[in-house]
Amino acid sequence: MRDEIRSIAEEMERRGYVADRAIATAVHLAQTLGRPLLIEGEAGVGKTEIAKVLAEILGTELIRLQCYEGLDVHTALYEWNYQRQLLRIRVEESGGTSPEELEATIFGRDYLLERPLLRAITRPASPVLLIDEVDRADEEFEAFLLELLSDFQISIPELGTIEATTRPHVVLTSNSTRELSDALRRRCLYLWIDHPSFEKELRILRTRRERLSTDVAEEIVRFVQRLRDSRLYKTPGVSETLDWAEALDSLGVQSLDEDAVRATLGCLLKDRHDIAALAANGLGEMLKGAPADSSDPS
Amino acid sequence: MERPVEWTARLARTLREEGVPCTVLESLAACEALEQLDASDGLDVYFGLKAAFTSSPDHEPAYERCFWALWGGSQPGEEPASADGRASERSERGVAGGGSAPPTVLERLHRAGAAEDGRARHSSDVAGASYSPDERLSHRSFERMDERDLRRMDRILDRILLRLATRKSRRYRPHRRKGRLDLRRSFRDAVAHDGELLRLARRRRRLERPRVVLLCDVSGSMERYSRFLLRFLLAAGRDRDVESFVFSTRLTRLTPWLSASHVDQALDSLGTRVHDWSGGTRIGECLDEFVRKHGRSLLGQRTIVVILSDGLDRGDVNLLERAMRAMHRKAKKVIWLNPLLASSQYEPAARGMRAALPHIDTFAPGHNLESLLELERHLTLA
Repeated sequence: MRDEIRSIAEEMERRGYVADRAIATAVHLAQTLGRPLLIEGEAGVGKTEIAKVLAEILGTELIRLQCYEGLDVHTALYEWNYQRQLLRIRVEESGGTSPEELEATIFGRDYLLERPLLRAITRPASPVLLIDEVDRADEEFEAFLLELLSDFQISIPELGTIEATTRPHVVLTSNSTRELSDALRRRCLYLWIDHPSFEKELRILRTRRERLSTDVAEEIVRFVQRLRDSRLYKTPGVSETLDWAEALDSLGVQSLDEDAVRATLGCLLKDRHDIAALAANGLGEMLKGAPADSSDPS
Repeated sequence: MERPVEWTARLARTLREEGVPCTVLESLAACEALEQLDASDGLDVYFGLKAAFTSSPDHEPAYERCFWALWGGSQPGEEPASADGRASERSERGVAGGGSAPPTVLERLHRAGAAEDGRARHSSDVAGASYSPDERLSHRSFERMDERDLRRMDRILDRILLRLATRKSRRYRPHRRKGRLDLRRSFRDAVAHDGELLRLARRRRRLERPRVVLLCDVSGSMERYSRFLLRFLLAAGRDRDVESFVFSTRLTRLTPWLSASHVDQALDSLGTRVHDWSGGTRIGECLDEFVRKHGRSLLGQRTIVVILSDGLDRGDVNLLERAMRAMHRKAKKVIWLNPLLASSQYEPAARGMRAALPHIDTFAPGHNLESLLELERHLTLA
């Protein structure tokens, strides 16, 4: 393994993120090639966390743009402060400023509201730009994003073109609620994060919840892994495992039994029907080791 | 290893042959990536080029196969996660699609699409070459409908899909009198009047087309309606936000195959021959699989689900009920088109159908042109 990749994995782990080889390699390449990194995976596998840890490692600012349907340029990039502009006009009416001067004033940087994308390219040092859940934004926004990610410059009609002072490290995450365009995928390095293996999840748990005893940690991970194999509407991710472990720890649970699990199941399962189904039939067996639903098709 | 550039190009070519869409751009990225990696370390290169070449978890098996085959079949120190199945996979690779399971509709469509790609037009001998006789294919001719009927049907289907799809968007468009205040435009207008706000601009949410999810039963009992189903799927494929699935004993996502134009053509000519859509039905299992695998991404308040099935189920009824309930809860509307409903004697007595009924918003026949027109009337803007 190349040293840089190993050191990235170590740095990440030191900050509580257990990165396997695929993740460390992808992060390394995104850094050295200066390309955006597109991360996909189920909810709760730690996609967003990568950007946060990366910002910590680089000792730089994290700028986050949470995407949602209807997100437009004016929420993502910039907006003029209209109220302030209007006020200024009113104030200047009695003064003797010429229209040209007035215009230059109210369309200056002071009256510009920076949104995340504009901020990300005008920092003195490269920040980490996290474009979270990009699949929630619509195609129009994706097209715009593409332009920004290829040129790293934006034009504001009243101000002219603003070029990036520094290129941000871009991380995009997606839950695949929508197929992203090929053009966007093509521009990025791609990383798919799956639910972790038993060993990896145990390591994550040991890293993040140090107080937990080894036995309980193993029991927790074994139960969650088994749960993921059964038929669920909402499969718990690593973040659910961590929540659950914390809940069990705060309740002082020394070993997993049915009562403890039943009382804390809400940390793990977030669907009423999943909880009902598990509580009704499989909980005891699940703890013992038999899968709750033997007719699993996969 | 030979020179990295050539090696990478060779990998790209094999990947393309395996259906992973990679262009020169990906190859360039891969070459750049190689410079940043330890080229003697298989795993380094494996994970690095994976980030460059793949863009979906679906590409992973093909990538893994191609990469290690090209890497020389040697076993590097550390195994990637799913390496255990590699050897067996490689030995089965001779057949397109691999595996011992019977080829799915999708695979067949894919193969036919590929055949169509190679030549401008299809000829029967190639069709014979790409289909083995034991696949039990029989010819599906559009028997009773003539060309004019078919065109009419297409138009109706288009209208239905259009009508299924109208809702208010989160995005705004300007409006003269009603809606929320639009400061940006108001201010722009004011500039023309020396900063005087003479008129307040407004904006309203615009209308948008929601997503339609089409779940099409292609089991033996639906055979008679396959012409209609094909048309429906084709019409749906033309639309951007329609996701199509077919199911019998297993669920297959069709959307990627319907959107590309050449496959559209291929499918058109295929309409006459693909029908070996298997015998049994396990609606419950398939719908449940749909909800679990695609539910969270495809179902939502902007989704209308259309199921085309006769509801004759041999699978688990409880599962069907559960899946239908989940779907009904999450989607905006669930429409079930059941050709059997056309018969006046039909009572939804099949266990599966009975279990599903409470979770259906619109239950309609849709077996011929009249019933489609009828359906269109049902689908007023909700």
